[in-house]
Amino acid sequence: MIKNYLTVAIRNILRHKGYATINIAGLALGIACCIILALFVRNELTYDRYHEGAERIYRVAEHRKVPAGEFRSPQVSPAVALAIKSGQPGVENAVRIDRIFNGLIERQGLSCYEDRMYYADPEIFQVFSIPFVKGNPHSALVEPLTVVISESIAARFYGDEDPVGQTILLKDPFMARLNDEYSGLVEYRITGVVEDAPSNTHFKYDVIVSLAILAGNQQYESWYGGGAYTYVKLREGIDAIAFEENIRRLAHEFEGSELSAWGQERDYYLQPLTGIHFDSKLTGFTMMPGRGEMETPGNYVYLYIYSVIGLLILVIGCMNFINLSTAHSVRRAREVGLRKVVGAGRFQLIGQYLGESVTITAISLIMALLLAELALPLFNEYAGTTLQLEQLLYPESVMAVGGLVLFVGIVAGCYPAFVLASIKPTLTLKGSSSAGTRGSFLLRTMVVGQFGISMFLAICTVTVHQQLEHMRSQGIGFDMEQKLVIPFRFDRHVRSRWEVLRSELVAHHSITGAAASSSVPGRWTRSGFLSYEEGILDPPKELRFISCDPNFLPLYEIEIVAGRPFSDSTDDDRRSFLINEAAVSYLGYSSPEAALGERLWESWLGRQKEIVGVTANFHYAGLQHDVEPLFMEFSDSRFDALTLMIAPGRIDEALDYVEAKWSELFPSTPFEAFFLDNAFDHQYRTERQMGQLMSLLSGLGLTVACLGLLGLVSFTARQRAQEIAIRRVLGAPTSRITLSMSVESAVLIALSGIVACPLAYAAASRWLENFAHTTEIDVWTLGLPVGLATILSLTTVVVCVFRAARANPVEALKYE
Amino acid sequence: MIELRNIAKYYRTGSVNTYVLRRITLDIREGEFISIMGPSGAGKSTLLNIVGMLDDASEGEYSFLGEPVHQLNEKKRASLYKEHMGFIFQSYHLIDELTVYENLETPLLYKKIKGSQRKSMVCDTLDRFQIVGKKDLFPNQLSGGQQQLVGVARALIANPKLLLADEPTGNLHSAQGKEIMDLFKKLNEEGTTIIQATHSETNSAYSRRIIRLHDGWLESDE
Ligand SMILES: Nc1ncnc2c1ncn2[C@@H]1O[C@H](COP(=O)(O)OP(=O)(O)O)[C@@H](O)[C@H]1O
Ligand SMILES: [Mg+2]
Repeated sequence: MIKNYLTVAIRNILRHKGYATINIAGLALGIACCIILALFVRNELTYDRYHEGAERIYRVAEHRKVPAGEFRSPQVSPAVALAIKSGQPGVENAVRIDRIFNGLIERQGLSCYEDRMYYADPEIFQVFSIPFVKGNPHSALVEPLTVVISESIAARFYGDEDPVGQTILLKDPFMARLNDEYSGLVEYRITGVVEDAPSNTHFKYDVIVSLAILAGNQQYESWYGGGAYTYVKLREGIDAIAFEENIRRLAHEFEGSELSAWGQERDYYLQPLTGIHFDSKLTGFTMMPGRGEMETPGNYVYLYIYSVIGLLILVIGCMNFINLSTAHSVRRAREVGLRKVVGAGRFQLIGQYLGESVTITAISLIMALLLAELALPLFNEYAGTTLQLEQLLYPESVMAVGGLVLFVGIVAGCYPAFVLASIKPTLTLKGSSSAGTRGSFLLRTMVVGQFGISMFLAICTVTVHQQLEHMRSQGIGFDMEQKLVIPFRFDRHVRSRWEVLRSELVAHHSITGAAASSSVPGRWTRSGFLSYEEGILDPPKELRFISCDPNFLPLYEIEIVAGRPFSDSTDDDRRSFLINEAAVSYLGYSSPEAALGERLWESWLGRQKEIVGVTANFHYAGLQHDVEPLFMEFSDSRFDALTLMIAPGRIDEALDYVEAKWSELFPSTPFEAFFLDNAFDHQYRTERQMGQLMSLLSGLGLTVACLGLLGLVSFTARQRAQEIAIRRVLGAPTSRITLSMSVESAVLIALSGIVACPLAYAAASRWLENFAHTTEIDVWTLGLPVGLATILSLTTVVVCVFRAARANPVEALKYE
Repeated sequence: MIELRNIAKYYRTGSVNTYVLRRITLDIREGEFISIMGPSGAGKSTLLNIVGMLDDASEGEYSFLGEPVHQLNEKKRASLYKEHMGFIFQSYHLIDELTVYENLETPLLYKKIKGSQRKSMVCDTLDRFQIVGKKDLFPNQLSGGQQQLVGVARALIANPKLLLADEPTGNLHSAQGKEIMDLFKKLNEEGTTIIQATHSETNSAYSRRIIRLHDGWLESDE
């Protein structure tokens, strides 16, 4: 019996290959998209949960009040960890992790900058679960000048060799502040290779360097020393709140009188490890680069968006499957009737058709898993994640997927199983003329649903793209075309010779200008404080700042609204400021002109400077944000980038020249450069990724929805085959029949539009609230996707109906 | 075997009932060979379908082998049907996706007949109808006559007591039609009760009793 069913099912699929492919592929695509998005969402939600005892691990953060303001920092003095370990019995372990900025890694002539390089205490492997591939986690970082590297670094620098026991050269440009002995390239011994960091941890390492060369350094481990991310793992059963209270005034216990003399207050508090990704957005002490979170914090909004999109695509896929299955099963009305005639009971029919439908759904699921497996590497590459299909292997998700397959299978099989099987075989055997009408309400609802969802996605997609376009095209207040940026990476040697580099480079005909600065638009790191008078620190004002040479403003075509730009009579300008328009009112001046000649103190350095000019607001930090108050100064000790203006059409030439010159001037430092417009666009990466993903998904959705419509139309066309045939016999032209059926579809599409537009409008407006400068949602935003969907769907309808109407009427009439 | 009492069938068209069969009272004994005749639209098929339990009567009583069919639930009726009846249509209704062999096998599957016995029954039938050579072909690879033959074979495979045939030769040319009729005659002689609907006098000549329908009325019973 089962064999008989299977035979029919398989032959049916083979006979209608096109239909079966579309049907199975549509559902498989929906499920695959949903699986990938689910993995992505899961990845976000499981941040740092994989560490053993993760719920007992906390990061120590600091709330610092100084006369100039308040900060919250995820980094604390390295003394904190020492004090906690020696004085707090509740601690199982504690570790300091200190990021190495612009660290360099070199072996046998192969060298590169490495962003994921950290110093760490050897306890790191007891606090965090970092699996070793080679080496011993208990001894790995105990000795000074030892290092543990990730598998990918090992592969890059050692290939198939065993790196353990070998040496590698590392450079930390900031080490000079503490220990001149280690300021250049230093030889380290590799004591371990660990697995690459998964994507669901905020601490993404590639190179973990023993902190032993810093441990014991008086300056480093003082309460006023550098900042290290400090994690504690509490013993089981220890109350975190009580523990937090114990360490809150730790600094004051040790340095109380000193701190109050400085007018400082420091409170320590605990951040649960697993909450860092979403809940912690600390900026740290912003004067220095690289303070703040290790990685850009997660955003719940995008998580919701991706969850919703994933579900919507799944819903479209399921609706499509149900629609097509139902439409197709009308063709099998005769089979159902015949089976009854030869003695099939109703439950046997129900069993057969539900079973068949569930089986096909299960096949789609298998296809979906294959698809997801194939697509995951691409997605991982694209989104920078390490998602794997196995990550979905836990009871809830397996049950959810199984339930889904069962549900979709049953709903899709309902029509033949329940509707057709309950109809008298005398009706179904005559053809399908009167058998079908009962299913069509369901089908119509589904088509409206599918198109509604597709249009919704399409409208949101258009909004995202409009917003991106808006951010790109809106006056950003400076020019970013043809600009090549060479970062100095805090290399003291490069920084000290920036003028040589500059003059050598501008000499070439492919380079029309060059300007040095502390940072470039789109790469913002620093801020500083200004106050009106020395000694009176209240109220000091925090502003962003940029340090640049006199070429900077003309090169970037930044407008001056009052006063003058920096001039080449350098000494003078080391004593002067420029501010932007936003800073004018922020600092309390009535107009740009009124600000000129005012003298302000730079709180941190204690230098007084005069405001000599006011620039127009330029969007140095991207259009998500309003332009914040900014001051500019000319101080070459802070320069960290050289911007080159490349002559049009000479990019390749310029690149070759710049790289050659660089290697000539700085033979031991790897060359790096990026184009400003790319880097600037990088700020919109989240938005752009979402835009691209949504384009893909709404395109898919629309395609699948059209397939669903095709299903509905062929369903009705078949139902009405006789009507069409008779009309043809009576002489009605094909076009009339086509028209009457197209009108019906058009009504459905219109209905979808009516449902989709307000919802999409609401969602899109809500999303746009995230931006300071937004595009308008206009008639086009809504009209374009709806129009497109309408054209696409009507084309589908016309083609399908036309074919039905052109069919030989004798075929349809044969059974009467 | 079959007792019909005041059977009527109507369809609702708008607010009025259009009668297709009116007050049909009829007794059929085992072993009879009956032709139901009448012009097109007279209600022959409808009557046959009601007798074959493929359709319900709107009014009246129907008992089959002493069971009151009009009172039985669907399941009971299906099993009565499955046990005792075979149905042949004017247009040879076979399952397109199944081969001749599989089409013949299907009724046996629903009767839950064991594999080996099933196989021998199918082989016997293939033999009897001389279609062994066609057993692996699909319906659309057969001629109309051959398809009808398979339809007949499928109706007969489980040795039904009652064979219902709705214009079984309607789509066949006369030679093929004669073959089927000869077969019916032989079956009837072997004891199968046969009711056929036809408007061909040639076909009705094979039967021993002719019932004429006109506009749903039972006109004569010879
Ligand atoms: N489903 C139906 N709805 C309405 N009328 C029907 C239906 N089926 C059959 N009829 C009508 O019933 C009458 C008898 O049909 P039928 O029994 O097929 O006639 P015959 O087989 O004698 O040609 C015809 O007039 C036909 O139009
Ligand atoms: Mg008829």
